[in-house]
Amino acid sequence: MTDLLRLENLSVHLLANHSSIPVLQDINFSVKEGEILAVVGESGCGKSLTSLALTRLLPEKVFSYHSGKILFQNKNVLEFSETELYSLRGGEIAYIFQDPFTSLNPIKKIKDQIIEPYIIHISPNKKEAIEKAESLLAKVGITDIKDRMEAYPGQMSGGILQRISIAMSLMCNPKLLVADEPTSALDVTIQSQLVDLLMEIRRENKMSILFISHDIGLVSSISDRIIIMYAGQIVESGTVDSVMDTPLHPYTTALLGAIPTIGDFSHKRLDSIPGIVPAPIDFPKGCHFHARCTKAMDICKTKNPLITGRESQSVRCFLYEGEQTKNA
Amino acid sequence: MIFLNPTTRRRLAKFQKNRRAYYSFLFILATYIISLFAPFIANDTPLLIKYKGSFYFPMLSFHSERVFGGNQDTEPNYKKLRKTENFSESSQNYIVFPVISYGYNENHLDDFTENEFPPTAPDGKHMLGTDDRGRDVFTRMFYGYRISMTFSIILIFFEVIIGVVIGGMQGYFAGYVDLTVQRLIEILSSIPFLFMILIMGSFFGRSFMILLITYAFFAWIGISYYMRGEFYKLRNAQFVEAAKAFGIPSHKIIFRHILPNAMTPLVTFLPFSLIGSISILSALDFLGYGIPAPNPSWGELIGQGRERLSAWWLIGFPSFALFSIIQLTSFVGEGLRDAFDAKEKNSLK
Repeated sequence: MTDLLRLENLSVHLLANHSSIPVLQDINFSVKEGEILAVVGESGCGKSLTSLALTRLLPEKVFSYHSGKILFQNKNVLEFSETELYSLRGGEIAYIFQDPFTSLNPIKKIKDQIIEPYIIHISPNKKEAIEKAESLLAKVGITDIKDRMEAYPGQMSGGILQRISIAMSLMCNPKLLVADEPTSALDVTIQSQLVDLLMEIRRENKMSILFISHDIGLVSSISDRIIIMYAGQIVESGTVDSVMDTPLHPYTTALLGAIPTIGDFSHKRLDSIPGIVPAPIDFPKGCHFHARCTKAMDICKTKNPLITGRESQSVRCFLYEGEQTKNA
Repeated sequence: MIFLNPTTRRRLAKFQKNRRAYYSFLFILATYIISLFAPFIANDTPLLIKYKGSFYFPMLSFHSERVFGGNQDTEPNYKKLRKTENFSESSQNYIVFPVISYGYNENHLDDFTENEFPPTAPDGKHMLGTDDRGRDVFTRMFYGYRISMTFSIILIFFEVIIGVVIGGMQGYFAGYVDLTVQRLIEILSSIPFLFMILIMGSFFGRSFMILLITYAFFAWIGISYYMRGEFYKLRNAQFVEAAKAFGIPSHKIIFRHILPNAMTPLVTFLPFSLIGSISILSALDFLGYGIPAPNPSWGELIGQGRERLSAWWLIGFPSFALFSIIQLTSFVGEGLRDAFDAKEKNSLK
């Protein structure tokens, strides 16, 4: 399988008060064709920033793409012109957002919103667009399609709105779907339906999904590979099996320890990670995680570890320094 | 369409339920529509003339005095024409005047008796009396209403366009655009408006258009503040971010997604702009810097009344009309504000 999207040493800085603060540092990952890649981390780790950076949606007055490359089908997105960017957004890379209640315009009919990307990216034929929208709505499991098309977002439930958002993002047959916590605003029952729906759509359309979530349990059941982010850096990455079975980084271990297990009647308290993710301006010297890490050593406070490991699993931690080194 | 939106429908229903506001709105709308047909209701030009077997419609086409047996090329004075021998010799000739057969600039000095001088108090002939030049006060108020409402509506139209464009730009682009325009607005709003009217008037001559342009030049500032705030709020809304992520260009985002969502403060602001411009126009007319004479205006009538304090009808009727319109408009504004308020409260209670 070839790489659809590849980030090479991407660093993004936040420009504030004449200084620039690194919010994403040396992000390296690739999404292969037809693959689901999950990005996991606490709030404020830079997951959403990464997803927005892919199509340069971060406002360039405030953020600068400091170094690195974003290669989409081997073309560098950072060198794209305005027009190329517009056709990339929505056309090649589509997004699904966290909260379907706010990501749809409250005073426009579903019909007018859902066809908008199609009309802009594919053809201005309105009838064709409506037909396509109706067939997609049927595919995402919406009934009463004609009524729904004439309705406004405020008249529907979150589950239905998120299905509509998914249909909307599929209007232009994107190659990559970026799902930014698509289920965290919804009920657990609806969550599993939507995840199943996404899996089915991926199979049918043969597209890749970048699935962003803070729910490591959910992610482990659906994705092929997984990336753990902490404070603007990738701390561990690899195939789901190896990361879940043998978590290397202390942060990954801690995340896994915080998941409740069904059938565990020991009445033991769940583990939690003390402290919070530092704000970008307070990123510590050395390893970003050392202040909250149970296995921190002296070197962690002064030096930032490099990524070491193999293709199937790599980690950014001094505990594993000295093993075979590879940037992946 | 925006009107089919359930929220808009609920707001309309809420506005209709507030009967004081709703009936005030209907009253203002009805009187303004009637006043648009003022020439057919109060005019010294007849609706219809029958002369020597043929019909004439002097309101629609020009007929000189010669047509009716006179010897001038100008338009005849129809009231005198009716009394000429030539015209009254046959009972077949007749003239149909509008319901109120006075023009707004027609004086009735000829009808006055020996020791009667204008202004005259209300009587059977002139229901609200005559002004200092013997012109019918009701007719002048009627036309004055039409002029001040038309002025205000045109003004609000331009005010809204300029205010929305500039305020929206500031809010959407923010940063240096916002800072620069905001400083320019501060400079602009520190220019005294009355002096500007005087200067413009003495440069270009006083006229409806000059007044309109000068006033519109200042009046948009209030609206631009509101729009700036709304755009600031909405540019970070999730659905705007989503629209960007779908590759929708900026101008489409502004007009299709942000602007329709920013209409609420604009709509609630409109009645109060109307009040502002009606009263400012009356004030300017009162001072003599408004629409030039002999155009009819409420302010001008009140101004006449100030010089003749015994002529109570010159002060009383126009002041009452001005007061009522302002009061009714503010009822409408209040009703709109309540209708757009998500909270279930009613200022009547």
